[in-house]
Amino acid sequence: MTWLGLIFSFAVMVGLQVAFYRRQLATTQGGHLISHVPSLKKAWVLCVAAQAAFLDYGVFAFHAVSLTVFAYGYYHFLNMCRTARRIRLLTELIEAGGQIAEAELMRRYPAREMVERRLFRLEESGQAGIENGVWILKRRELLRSAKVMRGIKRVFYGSLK
Amino acid sequence: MWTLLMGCGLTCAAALFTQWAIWRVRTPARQSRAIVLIFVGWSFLGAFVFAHTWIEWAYFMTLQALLTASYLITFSAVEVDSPSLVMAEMLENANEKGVSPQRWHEVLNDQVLVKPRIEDLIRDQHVERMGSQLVMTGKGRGFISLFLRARGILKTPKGG
Repeated sequence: MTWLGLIFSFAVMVGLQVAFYRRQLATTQGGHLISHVPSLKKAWVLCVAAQAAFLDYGVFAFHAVSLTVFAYGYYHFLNMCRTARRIRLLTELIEAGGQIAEAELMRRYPAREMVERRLFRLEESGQAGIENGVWILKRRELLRSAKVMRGIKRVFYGSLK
Repeated sequence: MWTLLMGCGLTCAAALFTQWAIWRVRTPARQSRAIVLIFVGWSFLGAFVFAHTWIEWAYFMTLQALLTASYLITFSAVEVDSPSLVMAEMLENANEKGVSPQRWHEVLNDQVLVKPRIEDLIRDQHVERMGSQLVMTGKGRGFISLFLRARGILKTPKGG
């Protein structure tokens, strides 16, 4: 029943990622800022390697692709937990008992805080930094992602929204 | 298995082409729902063509579900401008002149970052507007509970 094995390995990957992340959290200072990428990468490698030991070539290829797509989706899910604006707004709403005045919601999570958090993350990841009192671009990885997104937008919407 | 893999690829390509054709004519109001409908529709058609046993069917639908979910989560960054990506573009456009700390707040204000996301939550029926109040719906509670649970397990603080 190799299909059940595949479903089981999704759960194993999540379990391993959580275990690796928690261990990293316990041993790193400023733990809440650490990335979940290294723990997910380790979990993904272990799960794919385990499949290679037991399956023939064709089934392994299918499992490896499925596990990679799962890891990609899970990575973005974790990213949303940490950075998505809509998740944060809904969290504020839940904490307010499920009902809040719009002005109060905007006071609890203002644009200023959003910008400050992102500037901090840009600096932490080495993408941007301050020189002579102004922010400048230091690395181009994030910019490349922005350009890919612009490209996709152009394909689907014809022009930029 | 190779046929199934190629089948998944072709099915996704067909779904993407369908989405592109529809979006070029008229962008649906609820884009995520439309994407799910397109991908699910093509998945069943693809399973009918490429999967011949129930186990192949299970494999095919598993990978299709993963591809749909991954694409959906990626497309959400296309649908709405990510502030970090906008900031990276602002930095590129500024070249060596750079962006002053106050310039960020002038450009990326509540009207640009917060208000549209609140409207999105209302459009997606996660929240209802009642006068000046925003009230969370059952759908919104269901949606956020998954993220809150994940945050609890990973012991990560309130994000944003």
